[in-house]
Amino acid sequence: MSTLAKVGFGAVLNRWNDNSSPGGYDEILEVTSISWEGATRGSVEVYVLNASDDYVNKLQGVLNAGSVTATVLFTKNGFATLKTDLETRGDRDYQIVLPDGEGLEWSGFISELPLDITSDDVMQGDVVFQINGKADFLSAATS
Amino acid sequence: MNPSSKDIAEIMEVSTLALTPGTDLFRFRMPPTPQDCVVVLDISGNEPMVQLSKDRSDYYYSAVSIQVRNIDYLTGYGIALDIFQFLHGTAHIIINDTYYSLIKAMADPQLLHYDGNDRAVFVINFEVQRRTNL
Repeated sequence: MSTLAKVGFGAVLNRWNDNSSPGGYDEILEVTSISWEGATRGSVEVYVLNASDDYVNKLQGVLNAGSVTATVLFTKNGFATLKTDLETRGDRDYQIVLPDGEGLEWSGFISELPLDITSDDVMQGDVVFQINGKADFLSAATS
Repeated sequence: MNPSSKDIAEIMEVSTLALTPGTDLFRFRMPPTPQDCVVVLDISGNEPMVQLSKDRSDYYYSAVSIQVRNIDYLTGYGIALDIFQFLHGTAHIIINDTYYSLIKAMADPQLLHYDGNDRAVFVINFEVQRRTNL
């Protein structure tokens, strides 16, 4: 038995481009890291008065797919595209294609587009994609 | 892409530093003569940027060491200080198809040692951020 661990180098962040016919995914360039905070389920605490063991019970709440944060190096064209997404109402499809072709896809919108400018390093920003609904892992990402 | 030392030396050649290649400005190694001279050497820098894609991972944090040798301590320090003040903060230069986005001193001039002939040798190390010019 050997490990199946994989490194993230080679992963790609894609944005659905519906200006082409048929539509397809375009790679978001100059990405140094991608982080999905993961889905969470809320919990509701309930307590029965005079419970003999004094423990709280919990009910399952609703699911929240969370957000994806990508560190993107600044290029004017790249940030202009993301700024257009930020300013546009409605969802867009995005996907992460992992190095072996598997993927994570979701629909959502950009909620944060910051830009850090420092004196001694490259300009970059942590772009936040909010996931509307759920994100799905795919065995083979569609292009 | 050249060694950083070659490009940095060429930037210094065309500056107001009044250094002449082969006369008092050298690259790659300190020559035995003349006594008073400046040499630009490649040294270990920091790890290069790694983006998620290989073809965009070519942004380098290289480094050079500039050594100034002089029989007079104060004269040598003055030359080293001039070089430090010229190069530190030099940015957005294209030379030999390489874009030097920033040259940043790691410290101001320091005495490295007195060599075997009792000459003062000063050192200034610079981080050099660069990539292929596109």
